[in-house]
Amino acid sequence: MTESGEQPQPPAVTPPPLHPSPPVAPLSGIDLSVPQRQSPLAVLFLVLRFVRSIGIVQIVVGAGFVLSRSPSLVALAIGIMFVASILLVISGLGWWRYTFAVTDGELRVEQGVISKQRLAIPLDRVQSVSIEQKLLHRIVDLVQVSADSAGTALSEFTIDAVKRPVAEALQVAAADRRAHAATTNEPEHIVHEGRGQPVEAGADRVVLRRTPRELVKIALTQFPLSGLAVLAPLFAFSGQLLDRIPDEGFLDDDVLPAIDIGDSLIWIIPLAVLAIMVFSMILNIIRVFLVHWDLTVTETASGLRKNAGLLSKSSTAASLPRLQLVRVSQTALTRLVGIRSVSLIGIRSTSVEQGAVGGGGTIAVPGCSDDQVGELRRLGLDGARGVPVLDRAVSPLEVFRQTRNSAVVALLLAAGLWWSPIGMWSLGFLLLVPWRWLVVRRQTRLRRWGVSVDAIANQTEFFTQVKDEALLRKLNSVTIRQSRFERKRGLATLSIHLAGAGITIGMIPIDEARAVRDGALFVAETDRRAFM
Amino acid sequence: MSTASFSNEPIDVSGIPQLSNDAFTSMHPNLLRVALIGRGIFASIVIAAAVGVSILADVNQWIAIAIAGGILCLVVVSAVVKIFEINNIGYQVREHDLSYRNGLIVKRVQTVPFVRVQHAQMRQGPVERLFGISTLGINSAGPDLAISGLGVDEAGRLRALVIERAGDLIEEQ
Repeated sequence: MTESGEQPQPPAVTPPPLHPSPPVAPLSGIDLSVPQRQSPLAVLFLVLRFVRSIGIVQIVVGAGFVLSRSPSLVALAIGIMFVASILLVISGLGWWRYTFAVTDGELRVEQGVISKQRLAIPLDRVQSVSIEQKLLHRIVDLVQVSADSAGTALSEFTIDAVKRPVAEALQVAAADRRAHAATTNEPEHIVHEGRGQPVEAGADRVVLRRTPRELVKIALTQFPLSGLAVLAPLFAFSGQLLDRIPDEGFLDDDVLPAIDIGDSLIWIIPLAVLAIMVFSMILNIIRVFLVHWDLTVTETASGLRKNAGLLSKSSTAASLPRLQLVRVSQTALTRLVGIRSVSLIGIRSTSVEQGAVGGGGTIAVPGCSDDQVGELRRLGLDGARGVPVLDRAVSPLEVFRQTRNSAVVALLLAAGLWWSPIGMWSLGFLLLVPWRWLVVRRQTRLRRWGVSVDAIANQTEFFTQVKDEALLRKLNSVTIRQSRFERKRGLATLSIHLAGAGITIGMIPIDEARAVRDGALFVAETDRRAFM
Repeated sequence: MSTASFSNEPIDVSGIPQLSNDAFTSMHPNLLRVALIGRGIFASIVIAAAVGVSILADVNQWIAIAIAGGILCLVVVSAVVKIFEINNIGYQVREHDLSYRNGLIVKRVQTVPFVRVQHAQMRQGPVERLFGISTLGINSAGPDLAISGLGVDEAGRLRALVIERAGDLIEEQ
């Protein structure tokens, strides 16, 4: 009883929402539940995007057409100002009408000048949020945000230019939502063995950081000519550059001075090759420094984050449950210095056979020591032990099968081209058969695979050793395939399909394939943890 | 490398349920008819096109006949393969997954756990509609599964079962 004599009223009970979502905590005073606009400077990026969408060639052709009419300077200036003002007005309107907010666990975007579009992307479907600061962004101190939401209508979503705190707030909101969804789905009795202490929110742990010395090591152990890739844009424009050279007998034989290189040829060619390789290595060091500068992998409350880059800074975040495949590779050169590359492959990959690298949410880390490989592998396998020992081989009949197939193709080619101008030289194709035999023999001898209670692994090796490892509980389907050749010899091909990636092992005994299939299905059907 | 936490004890796999090779259900008998009619329609179109081209255009008629004949041979081979394959096509439903077996030269068995099913849909082409069969498509985050040659009622029941089991298992999570 209160003094006024009124009965105390029980507090109003609000029914819990069907899908409770954690509130978006304001970070650095940023409340994402209020619709946000991009930075006003985003207008410049929208103009640039529009210009880029027209195409450089079309712009050059248009400018050439205008200049060919020999307009006066005043008319030209008015025309340029007219076009620029139209672009600015359109881009300004686009910037004004573009807002984004995070409410009820969804990223809601409104855009469109003439017709308004409303998009809603569930945050728990956002696989990763990447922050990138390209050169132009660095000048104006803004960043670009890319949200990768595989499985939704908008698989890749980009905000052109926002301040870093806003981008980080978005990254944290997506990570929190994913962590919340994972916690809700996960039964209490599941314990992540070997994952160590859980990382509390705000207490990020640096898994590894690359020093400049390590970057040099990475650059020098890549393919010697890979640095020439930096010059690729120049090659693309080489045709246009050559067209600009005046064709006035410059390249005629009688104008070129006769150079008698004589016996020095034997020295010039190796020296030229050496010079190209040194030049390429220097370029590659520059490239690696630009791409991987200050490469840092951090374990956060909800997953992993990778930051790297010198001029263009990139930040990729991926939640651990969405990682599907762990790929560890080592080339002949990296083996010499004892380092490996690790790729934690996310769900947006396409090739089942190869588990292609480069999809959204993939975290690729070059130059890892054994300890770092172990740490990344443990994180990628969500604390599981994986397959410690690869103790199984594929049938040596694989050598015969592939050599026979190559021989048939070579014979057909040789027979088909016998009557062509190359005549009997077509028999040269048959020389490829022994080479193929040698390659396949080595590959088959070195091929290893293995399976444990929670994972399957497959390792291929020729010059580069590549080991793929995946958790059995993440399989989406499993296939056993038998060609006629395999059937006659009691062999089969087993494919474990994950969400967008997979592991395929051919030429193994059919009983072994069936046992692995049944075991894998048992694990996938009884382990109820989130698979992506 | 520390081995304190590592063990590699043998596991008893006898208790793990095995997918039986003999428990596959055959498809609707009209599947073969639909497959052969589909190939027949394709062959007719090719032959008609070859005849049309050789009459209307200034093309050596023997080239048109050779191309049409080659395609016709491939269609006949494909029809023969289908006739022999039909006995190998089947599906098997277990408590937690669905398997589909097909192929003649390369035989395949694909299994999708219900818990991984995203959605399922029925499809019917005009010839399938004529013969009262349909195709059940099952989509997961991995490769999709298409089971063709189910009776319409059977496909409807199977689709309802798949969706129901997928929903139950996801709720259990």
